[in-house]
Amino acid sequence: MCNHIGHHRAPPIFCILPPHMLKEIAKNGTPQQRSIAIDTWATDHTFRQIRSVQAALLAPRRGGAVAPVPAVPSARRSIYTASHTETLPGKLVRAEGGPKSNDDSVDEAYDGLGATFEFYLEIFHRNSIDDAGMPLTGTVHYGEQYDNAFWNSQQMVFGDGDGTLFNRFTIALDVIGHELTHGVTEQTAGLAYSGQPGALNESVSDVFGSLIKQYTLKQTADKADWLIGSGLLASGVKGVALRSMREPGTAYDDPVLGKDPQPTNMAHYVITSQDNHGVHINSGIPNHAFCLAARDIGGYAWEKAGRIWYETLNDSHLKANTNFKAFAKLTVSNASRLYGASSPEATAVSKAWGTVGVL
Amino acid sequence: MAACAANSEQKELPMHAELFIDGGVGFFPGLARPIVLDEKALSAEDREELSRLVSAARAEPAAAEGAAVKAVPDGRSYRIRITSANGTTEFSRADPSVPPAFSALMAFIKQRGHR
Repeated sequence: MCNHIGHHRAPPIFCILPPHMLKEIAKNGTPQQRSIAIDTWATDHTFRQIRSVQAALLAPRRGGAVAPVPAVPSARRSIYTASHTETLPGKLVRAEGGPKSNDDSVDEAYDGLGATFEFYLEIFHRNSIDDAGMPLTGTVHYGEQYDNAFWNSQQMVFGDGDGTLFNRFTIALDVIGHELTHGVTEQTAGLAYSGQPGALNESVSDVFGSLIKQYTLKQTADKADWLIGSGLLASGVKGVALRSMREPGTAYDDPVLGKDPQPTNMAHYVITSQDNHGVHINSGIPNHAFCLAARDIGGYAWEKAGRIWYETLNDSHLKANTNFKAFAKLTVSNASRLYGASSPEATAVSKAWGTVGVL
Repeated sequence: MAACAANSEQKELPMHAELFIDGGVGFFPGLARPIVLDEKALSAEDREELSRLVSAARAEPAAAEGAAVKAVPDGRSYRIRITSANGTTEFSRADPSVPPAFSALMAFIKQRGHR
Protein backbone atom coordinates (compact mmCIF):
# COMPACT_ATOMS: atom_id res chain seq x y z
CA MET A 1 0.00 0.00 0.00
CA CYS A 2 1.42 3.42 -0.94
CA ASN A 3 1.89 5.82 1.95
CA HIS A 4 3.97 8.66 0.62
CA ILE A 5 4.74 11.54 2.93
CA GLY A 6 2.14 14.30 2.90
CA HIS A 7 -0.47 12.39 0.87
CA HIS A 8 -3.59 10.42 1.44
CA ARG A 9 -3.07 6.70 0.82
CA ALA A 10 -3.34 5.79 -2.84
CA PRO A 11 -4.90 2.50 -3.95
CA PRO A 12 -2.14 -0.10 -4.40
CA ILE A 13 -2.69 -0.32 -8.16
CA PHE A 14 -1.44 3.23 -8.57
CA CYS A 15 1.85 2.33 -6.89
CA ILE A 16 2.82 -0.48 -9.29
CA LEU A 17 1.82 1.26 -12.48
CA PRO A 18 4.60 2.57 -14.74
CA PRO A 19 4.86 6.35 -15.24
CA HIS A 20 3.42 6.39 -18.78
CA MET A 21 0.27 4.65 -17.58
CA LEU A 22 -0.12 7.06 -14.67
CA LYS A 23 0.13 9.96 -17.12
CA GLU A 24 -2.62 8.48 -19.30
CA ILE A 25 -4.90 8.14 -16.28
CA ALA A 26 -4.03 11.70 -15.27
CA LYS A 27 -5.18 12.83 -18.69
CA ASN A 28 -8.23 10.67 -19.33
CA GLY A 29 -9.52 9.30 -16.00
CA THR A 30 -12.36 10.46 -13.78
CA PRO A 31 -11.59 13.49 -11.62
CA GLN A 32 -10.79 11.27 -8.63
CA GLN A 33 -8.61 8.94 -10.72
CA ARG A 34 -6.83 11.93 -12.23
CA SER A 35 -6.17 13.48 -8.82
CA ILE A 36 -4.74 10.27 -7.37
CA ALA A 37 -2.67 9.55 -10.49
CA ILE A 38 -1.15 13.04 -10.45
CA ASP A 39 -0.26 12.72 -6.76
CA THR A 40 1.21 9.26 -7.22
CA TRP A 41 3.20 10.12 -10.34
CA ALA A 42 4.72 13.21 -8.74
CA THR A 43 5.72 11.35 -5.58
CA ASP A 44 6.98 8.30 -7.43
CA HIS A 45 9.09 10.52 -9.67
CA THR A 46 11.11 11.62 -6.66
CA PHE A 47 11.41 8.08 -5.34
CA ARG A 48 12.34 6.67 -8.74
CA GLN A 49 15.16 9.22 -8.96
CA ILE A 50 16.42 8.20 -5.52
CA ARG A 51 16.16 4.48 -6.40
CA SER A 52 18.06 4.96 -9.69
CA VAL A 53 20.87 6.74 -7.87
CA GLN A 54 20.96 4.02 -5.24
CA ALA A 55 21.08 1.38 -8.00
CA ALA A 56 24.03 3.16 -9.61
CA LEU A 57 25.75 3.11 -6.24
CA LEU A 58 25.42 -0.67 -5.99
CA ALA A 59 26.42 -1.38 -9.63
CA PRO A 60 30.08 -2.32 -10.30
CA ARG A 61 32.13 0.69 -11.37
CA ARG A 62 35.08 0.65 -13.76
CA GLY A 63 38.32 0.85 -11.82
CA GLY A 64 36.60 -0.05 -8.55
CA ALA A 65 35.98 3.60 -7.64
CA VAL A 66 33.50 4.26 -4.88
CA ALA A 67 30.31 5.89 -6.11
CA PRO A 68 29.23 9.12 -4.43
CA VAL A 69 26.54 9.07 -1.74
CA PRO A 70 23.13 9.39 -3.44
CA ALA A 71 21.60 12.80 -3.05
CA VAL A 72 18.25 12.97 -1.29
CA PRO A 73 16.49 16.30 -1.42
CA SER A 74 18.08 18.73 1.00
CA ALA A 75 17.72 22.48 1.40
CA ARG A 76 21.51 22.93 1.28
CA ARG A 77 21.25 26.28 3.03
CA SER A 78 24.05 28.79 3.41
CA ILE A 79 23.49 32.01 5.31
CA TYR A 80 25.94 34.85 4.89
CA THR A 81 26.31 38.28 6.43
CA ALA A 82 27.12 41.29 4.28
CA SER A 83 28.12 43.12 7.49
CA HIS A 84 26.25 46.24 6.37
CA THR A 85 28.03 46.42 3.03
CA GLU A 86 26.45 45.64 -0.34
CA THR A 87 28.93 42.93 -1.21
CA LEU A 88 27.33 39.57 -1.97
CA PRO A 89 27.24 36.95 -0.73
CA GLY A 90 29.41 38.15 2.16
CA LYS A 91 30.83 36.02 4.97
CA LEU A 92 29.39 32.54 5.66
CA VAL A 93 27.88 32.38 9.13
CA ARG A 94 25.65 29.33 9.08
CA ALA A 95 25.76 26.34 6.75
CA GLU A 96 23.24 23.51 6.32
CA GLY A 97 22.99 21.54 9.53
CA GLY A 98 25.01 24.12 11.42
CA PRO A 99 24.09 25.20 14.98
CA LYS A 100 21.94 28.23 15.76
CA SER A 101 23.84 31.50 15.79
CA ASN A 102 23.36 34.35 18.25
CA ASP A 103 21.95 36.44 15.42
CA ASP A 104 18.17 36.49 14.99
CA SER A 105 18.46 37.52 11.33
CA VAL A 106 20.74 34.59 10.54
CA ASP A 107 18.52 32.04 12.28
CA GLU A 108 15.29 33.44 10.85
CA ALA A 109 16.73 33.36 7.33
CA TYR A 110 17.94 29.78 7.90
CA ASP A 111 14.56 28.64 9.23
CA GLY A 112 12.60 30.53 6.56
CA LEU A 113 14.59 29.06 3.69
CA GLY A 114 14.13 25.63 5.25
CA ALA A 115 10.38 26.06 5.71
CA THR A 116 10.02 27.15 2.08
CA PHE A 117 12.08 24.21 0.84
CA GLU A 118 10.08 21.76 2.97
CA PHE A 119 6.75 23.18 1.77
CA TYR A 120 7.58 22.87 -1.91
CA LEU A 121 9.04 19.38 -1.44
CA GLU A 122 6.31 17.94 0.77
CA ILE A 123 3.29 19.50 -0.92
CA PHE A 124 4.33 19.77 -4.56
CA HIS A 125 7.30 17.39 -4.68
CA ARG A 126 9.40 20.23 -5.94
CA ASN A 127 13.07 19.79 -5.10
CA SER A 128 14.07 23.40 -4.36
CA ILE A 129 13.49 26.50 -6.50
CA ASP A 130 14.50 24.87 -9.78
CA ASP A 131 13.19 21.36 -8.96
CA ALA A 132 16.76 20.17 -9.31
CA GLY A 133 18.11 20.72 -5.81
CA MET A 134 19.33 24.31 -6.19
CA PRO A 135 21.20 25.28 -2.98
CA LEU A 136 19.43 27.99 -1.00
CA THR A 137 21.59 30.98 -0.17
CA GLY A 138 20.68 34.03 1.87
CA THR A 139 22.59 37.14 2.87
CA VAL A 140 21.49 39.15 5.91
CA HIS A 141 22.58 42.60 7.15
CA TYR A 142 22.74 43.87 3.59
CA GLY A 143 23.51 47.59 3.33
CA GLU A 144 22.92 50.23 5.98
CA GLN A 145 19.38 50.25 7.39
CA TYR A 146 18.26 48.78 4.07
CA ASP A 147 14.46 48.75 4.07
CA ASN A 148 13.97 45.83 1.72
CA ALA A 149 14.55 42.23 0.69
CA PHE A 150 14.85 40.70 -2.76
CA TRP A 151 15.76 37.59 -4.81
CA ASN A 152 18.48 38.21 -7.42
CA SER A 153 18.02 34.92 -9.35
CA GLN A 154 20.78 33.31 -7.32
CA GLN A 155 20.13 34.14 -3.70
CA MET A 156 18.01 35.92 -1.13
CA VAL A 157 19.11 39.30 0.18
CA PHE A 158 17.73 40.79 3.43
CA GLY A 159 18.05 44.26 4.87
CA ASP A 160 17.85 45.16 8.55
CA GLY A 161 15.19 47.84 8.13
CA ASP A 162 15.62 51.28 9.62
CA GLY A 163 13.86 50.46 12.90
CA THR A 164 11.51 53.42 12.44
CA LEU A 165 9.36 52.27 9.55
CA PHE A 166 10.50 48.67 9.11
CA ASN A 167 11.91 45.90 11.25
CA ARG A 168 14.45 43.39 9.95
CA PHE A 169 13.20 41.69 6.80
CA THR A 170 13.88 38.14 7.99
CA ILE A 171 11.16 38.55 10.60
CA ALA A 172 8.30 37.56 8.28
CA LEU A 173 8.22 33.95 7.02
CA ASP A 174 5.76 34.80 4.25
CA VAL A 175 8.12 37.46 2.89
CA ILE A 176 10.92 34.88 2.73
CA GLY A 177 8.57 32.47 0.96
CA HIS A 178 7.43 35.31 -1.31
CA GLU A 179 10.96 36.11 -2.45
CA LEU A 180 11.95 32.49 -3.06
CA THR A 181 8.76 31.98 -5.03
CA HIS A 182 9.98 34.63 -7.47
CA GLY A 183 12.64 32.07 -8.21
CA VAL A 184 10.04 29.36 -8.78
CA THR A 185 8.12 31.66 -11.13
CA GLU A 186 11.35 32.46 -12.96
CA GLN A 187 11.90 28.71 -13.51
CA THR A 188 8.31 28.00 -14.59
CA ALA A 189 5.99 30.58 -16.11
CA GLY A 190 8.55 33.38 -16.31
CA LEU A 191 5.86 36.04 -15.90
CA ALA A 192 7.24 39.38 -17.07
CA TYR A 193 7.73 41.87 -14.23
CA SER A 194 5.50 44.64 -15.46
CA GLY A 195 1.80 45.45 -15.76
CA GLN A 196 -0.65 42.58 -15.36
CA PRO A 197 1.89 39.76 -15.87
CA GLY A 198 4.02 41.46 -13.22
CA ALA A 199 1.08 41.79 -10.84
CA LEU A 200 0.46 38.07 -11.38
CA ASN A 201 4.13 37.41 -10.67
CA GLU A 202 3.75 39.35 -7.42
CA SER A 203 0.47 37.66 -6.56
CA VAL A 204 1.89 34.17 -7.09
CA SER A 205 4.65 35.08 -4.64
CA ASP A 206 2.12 36.38 -2.11
CA VAL A 207 -0.05 33.27 -2.56
CA PHE A 208 2.75 30.79 -1.92
CA GLY A 209 4.38 33.00 0.70
CA SER A 210 1.10 32.98 2.60
CA LEU A 211 0.65 29.23 2.09
CA ILE A 212 4.12 28.57 3.47
CA LYS A 213 3.21 30.53 6.59
CA GLN A 214 -0.15 28.76 6.90
CA TYR A 215 1.48 25.34 6.37
CA THR A 216 4.11 26.06 9.02
CA LEU A 217 1.46 27.22 11.48
CA LYS A 218 -0.97 24.46 10.41
CA GLN A 219 -3.75 27.00 9.85
CA THR A 220 -6.88 26.38 7.84
CA ALA A 221 -8.02 28.98 5.33
CA ASP A 222 -10.61 30.41 7.69
CA LYS A 223 -8.12 30.75 10.55
CA ALA A 224 -5.30 32.34 8.51
CA ASP A 225 -4.86 36.11 8.71
CA TRP A 226 -4.05 36.42 4.98
CA LEU A 227 -1.63 39.24 5.75
CA ILE A 228 1.70 39.56 3.93
CA GLY A 229 4.58 40.83 6.03
CA SER A 230 2.84 40.91 9.38
CA GLY A 231 5.42 42.02 11.95
CA LEU A 232 7.52 43.84 9.40
CA LEU A 233 6.19 47.31 10.11
CA ALA A 234 7.90 48.91 13.11
CA SER A 235 5.89 49.74 16.23
CA GLY A 236 4.48 53.22 15.85
CA VAL A 237 3.60 52.71 12.20
CA LYS A 238 -0.14 52.76 11.65
CA GLY A 239 -0.54 49.44 9.91
CA VAL A 240 -0.51 45.68 10.35
CA ALA A 241 1.33 44.37 7.29
CA LEU A 242 2.58 45.15 3.79
CA ARG A 243 -0.59 43.81 2.18
CA SER A 244 -3.85 42.05 2.97
CA MET A 245 -5.11 39.34 0.64
CA ARG A 246 -8.43 39.19 2.44
CA GLU A 247 -9.00 42.94 2.45
CA PRO A 248 -6.72 44.64 -0.07
CA GLY A 249 -6.26 48.31 0.67
CA THR A 250 -6.47 48.00 4.46
CA ALA A 251 -2.97 46.87 5.49
CA TYR A 252 -1.79 50.36 6.51
CA ASP A 253 -2.78 54.01 6.63
CA ASP A 254 0.17 55.94 7.98
CA PRO A 255 1.29 59.59 7.77
CA VAL A 256 4.68 58.59 6.32
CA LEU A 257 3.89 55.43 4.31
CA GLY A 258 0.59 56.76 3.02
CA LYS A 259 -2.48 54.58 2.56
CA ASP A 260 -2.40 51.03 1.21
CA PRO A 261 -3.27 51.55 -2.48
CA GLN A 262 -4.28 47.99 -3.40
CA PRO A 263 -7.63 47.56 -5.17
CA THR A 264 -9.94 44.58 -4.51
CA ASN A 265 -11.38 44.40 -8.01
CA MET A 266 -10.92 45.46 -11.62
CA ALA A 267 -13.24 48.45 -11.19
CA HIS A 268 -10.42 50.10 -9.26
CA TYR A 269 -7.47 48.83 -11.29
CA VAL A 270 -4.63 51.34 -10.97
CA ILE A 271 -2.91 52.64 -14.09
CA THR A 272 0.53 53.98 -13.20
CA SER A 273 4.08 54.04 -14.48
CA GLN A 274 5.45 53.64 -10.95
CA ASP A 275 6.20 50.28 -9.41
CA ASN A 276 6.79 48.65 -12.83
CA HIS A 277 3.29 49.73 -13.79
CA GLY A 278 1.73 48.76 -10.50
CA VAL A 279 2.90 45.19 -9.88
CA HIS A 280 2.59 45.52 -6.07
CA ILE A 281 -0.59 47.55 -6.38
CA ASN A 282 -2.79 45.55 -8.74
CA SER A 283 -1.60 42.23 -7.31
CA GLY A 284 -4.36 42.90 -4.78
CA ILE A 285 -6.91 41.71 -7.34
CA PRO A 286 -5.56 38.18 -8.01
CA ASN A 287 -4.55 37.97 -4.33
CA HIS A 288 -8.12 38.54 -3.31
CA ALA A 289 -9.38 36.00 -5.84
CA PHE A 290 -7.11 33.33 -4.36
CA CYS A 291 -8.15 34.17 -0.80
CA LEU A 292 -11.85 34.04 -1.74
CA ALA A 293 -11.45 30.72 -3.55
CA ALA A 294 -9.41 29.17 -0.72
CA ARG A 295 -11.87 30.24 1.98
CA ASP A 296 -14.80 29.07 -0.12
CA ILE A 297 -13.23 25.65 -0.69
CA GLY A 298 -12.26 25.40 2.98
CA GLY A 299 -9.74 23.21 4.80
CA TYR A 300 -6.04 23.80 4.35
CA ALA A 301 -5.58 26.26 1.51
CA TRP A 302 -2.46 24.56 0.11
CA GLU A 303 -4.28 21.27 -0.51
CA LYS A 304 -6.72 22.33 -3.22
CA ALA A 305 -6.57 26.06 -3.99
CA GLY A 306 -2.78 25.95 -3.70
CA ARG A 307 -2.61 22.89 -5.91
CA ILE A 308 -4.75 24.57 -8.55
CA TRP A 309 -2.49 27.63 -8.53
CA TYR A 310 0.66 25.50 -8.63
CA GLU A 311 -0.65 23.45 -11.56
CA THR A 312 -1.46 26.72 -13.31
CA LEU A 313 2.05 28.06 -12.69
CA ASN A 314 3.41 24.95 -14.38
CA ASP A 315 0.83 25.00 -17.17
CA SER A 316 2.48 25.38 -20.57
CA HIS A 317 -0.31 27.75 -21.60
CA LEU A 318 0.88 30.27 -19.01
CA LYS A 319 3.19 32.66 -20.83
CA ALA A 320 5.43 35.55 -19.85
CA ASN A 321 2.84 38.09 -20.99
CA THR A 322 -0.29 36.38 -19.65
CA ASN A 323 -2.86 38.86 -18.32
CA PHE A 324 -5.35 38.52 -15.46
CA LYS A 325 -8.18 37.15 -17.58
CA ALA A 326 -6.07 34.47 -19.25
CA PHE A 327 -4.57 33.45 -15.90
CA ALA A 328 -8.03 33.24 -14.34
CA LYS A 329 -9.24 31.01 -17.17
CA LEU A 330 -6.27 28.74 -16.68
CA THR A 331 -6.99 28.37 -12.96
CA VAL A 332 -10.58 27.42 -13.78
CA SER A 333 -9.39 24.99 -16.44
CA ASN A 334 -6.91 23.37 -14.04
CA ALA A 335 -9.51 23.23 -11.27
CA SER A 336 -11.87 21.47 -13.70
CA ARG A 337 -9.17 19.05 -14.80
CA LEU A 338 -8.24 18.19 -11.22
CA TYR A 339 -11.65 18.11 -9.58
CA GLY A 340 -14.27 18.20 -12.32
CA ALA A 341 -15.93 21.02 -14.23
CA SER A 342 -18.94 21.11 -11.87
CA SER A 343 -16.94 20.46 -8.71
CA PRO A 344 -17.16 22.77 -5.69
CA GLU A 345 -13.49 23.57 -6.27
CA ALA A 346 -13.89 24.72 -9.87
CA THR A 347 -17.05 26.62 -8.95
CA ALA A 348 -15.26 28.40 -6.08
CA VAL A 349 -12.41 29.46 -8.34
CA SER A 350 -14.72 30.73 -11.06
CA LYS A 351 -16.87 32.59 -8.54
CA ALA A 352 -13.82 34.20 -6.94
CA TRP A 353 -12.63 35.62 -10.24
CA GLY A 354 -16.14 36.88 -10.92
CA THR A 355 -16.24 38.64 -7.56
CA VAL A 356 -13.04 40.57 -8.33
CA GLY A 357 -14.31 41.46 -11.79
CA VAL A 358 -11.77 39.53 -13.87
CA LEU A 359 -14.19 36.92 -15.25
CA MET B 1 25.95 95.07 -17.17
CA ALA B 2 22.79 93.07 -17.79
CA ALA B 3 24.87 90.18 -19.20
CA CYS B 4 27.19 90.33 -16.18
CA ALA B 5 24.16 90.29 -13.89
CA ALA B 6 22.70 87.32 -15.76
CA ASN B 7 25.97 85.40 -15.60
CA SER B 8 26.25 86.22 -11.93
CA GLU B 9 22.73 84.82 -11.35
CA GLN B 10 23.64 81.59 -13.16
CA LYS B 11 26.72 81.13 -11.00
CA GLU B 12 24.59 81.72 -7.92
CA LEU B 13 22.09 79.01 -8.90
CA PRO B 14 22.27 76.56 -6.01
CA MET B 15 22.57 72.85 -6.59
CA HIS B 16 19.29 71.03 -6.15
CA ALA B 17 19.23 67.25 -5.74
CA GLU B 18 16.27 64.90 -5.97
CA LEU B 19 16.33 61.20 -5.17
CA PHE B 20 13.57 59.01 -6.58
CA ILE B 21 13.24 55.49 -5.17
CA ASP B 22 10.96 52.98 -6.88
CA GLY B 23 10.27 49.28 -6.34
CA GLY B 24 10.87 47.15 -3.26
CA VAL B 25 8.77 44.50 -1.51
CA GLY B 26 5.81 46.85 -1.55
CA PHE B 27 4.61 50.12 -3.00
CA PHE B 28 4.12 52.83 -0.38
CA PRO B 29 2.64 56.06 -1.76
CA GLY B 30 4.31 58.15 0.93
CA LEU B 31 7.74 56.77 0.10
CA ALA B 32 7.24 57.19 -3.65
CA ARG B 33 7.66 60.97 -3.34
CA PRO B 34 11.21 62.14 -4.06
CA ILE B 35 13.63 63.18 -1.33
CA VAL B 36 14.82 66.69 -2.14
CA LEU B 37 17.88 68.56 -1.00
CA ASP B 38 18.65 72.17 -1.75
CA GLU B 39 22.19 73.39 -1.39
CA LYS B 40 20.91 76.62 0.19
CA ALA B 41 19.86 74.67 3.26
CA LEU B 42 23.38 73.31 3.83
CA SER B 43 26.40 74.63 5.66
CA ALA B 44 29.42 75.62 3.57
CA GLU B 45 31.14 72.39 4.58
CA ASP B 46 28.16 70.27 3.55
CA ARG B 47 27.86 72.12 0.24
CA GLU B 48 31.42 71.17 -0.56
CA GLU B 49 30.73 67.59 0.45
CA LEU B 50 27.62 67.46 -1.77
CA SER B 51 29.57 68.82 -4.70
CA ARG B 52 32.34 66.26 -4.14
CA LEU B 53 29.84 63.39 -3.89
CA VAL B 54 28.04 64.46 -7.07
CA SER B 55 31.32 64.63 -8.98
CA ALA B 56 32.33 61.19 -7.70
CA ALA B 57 28.96 59.65 -8.62
CA ARG B 58 29.13 61.21 -12.09
CA ALA B 59 32.61 59.82 -12.62
CA GLU B 60 31.59 56.24 -11.81
CA PRO B 61 31.37 53.92 -14.87
CA ALA B 62 28.06 53.70 -16.74
CA ALA B 63 26.64 56.72 -14.93
CA ALA B 64 25.34 58.12 -18.20
CA GLU B 65 22.13 60.10 -18.28
CA GLY B 66 19.11 57.84 -18.46
CA ALA B 67 21.22 54.67 -18.62
CA ALA B 68 18.96 51.64 -18.57
CA VAL B 69 19.11 49.59 -15.41
CA LYS B 70 17.81 46.06 -14.96
CA ALA B 71 16.03 45.57 -11.68
CA VAL B 72 15.32 42.25 -9.96
CA PRO B 73 11.84 41.39 -8.58
CA ASP B 74 11.30 43.42 -5.40
CA GLY B 75 14.64 45.11 -5.94
CA ARG B 76 14.71 48.89 -5.82
CA SER B 77 15.69 51.30 -8.56
CA TYR B 78 17.17 54.69 -7.75
CA ARG B 79 17.30 57.87 -9.83
CA ILE B 80 19.13 61.04 -8.86
CA ARG B 81 18.43 64.30 -10.62
CA ILE B 82 20.91 67.13 -10.10
CA THR B 83 20.00 70.64 -11.18
CA SER B 84 22.66 73.32 -11.06
CA ALA B 85 24.13 76.19 -13.02
CA ASN B 86 25.53 73.56 -15.39
CA GLY B 87 22.09 72.25 -16.28
CA THR B 88 20.29 69.07 -15.26
CA THR B 89 21.77 65.59 -15.03
CA GLU B 90 20.04 62.35 -14.15
CA PHE B 91 21.57 58.98 -13.41
CA SER B 92 20.07 55.71 -12.31
CA ARG B 93 21.03 52.49 -10.58
CA ALA B 94 19.17 49.40 -9.38
CA ASP B 95 19.58 46.71 -6.74
CA PRO B 96 21.85 44.86 -6.44
CA SER B 97 24.21 46.87 -8.66
CA VAL B 98 24.59 50.12 -6.75
CA PRO B 99 28.21 51.28 -6.84
CA PRO B 100 29.86 53.00 -3.85
CA ALA B 101 29.91 56.64 -4.98
CA PHE B 102 26.26 56.56 -6.06
CA SER B 103 25.40 54.87 -2.75
CA ALA B 104 27.28 57.54 -0.79
CA LEU B 105 25.47 60.34 -2.62
CA MET B 106 22.12 58.64 -1.95
CA ALA B 107 22.93 58.34 1.76
CA PHE B 108 23.85 62.04 1.92
CA ILE B 109 20.61 63.12 0.24
CA LYS B 110 18.56 60.84 2.52
CA GLN B 111 20.25 62.17 5.65
CA ARG B 112 19.99 65.86 4.86
CA GLY B 113 17.00 66.01 2.52
CA HIS B 114 13.27 65.71 3.08
CA ARG B 115 10.17 64.52 1.29
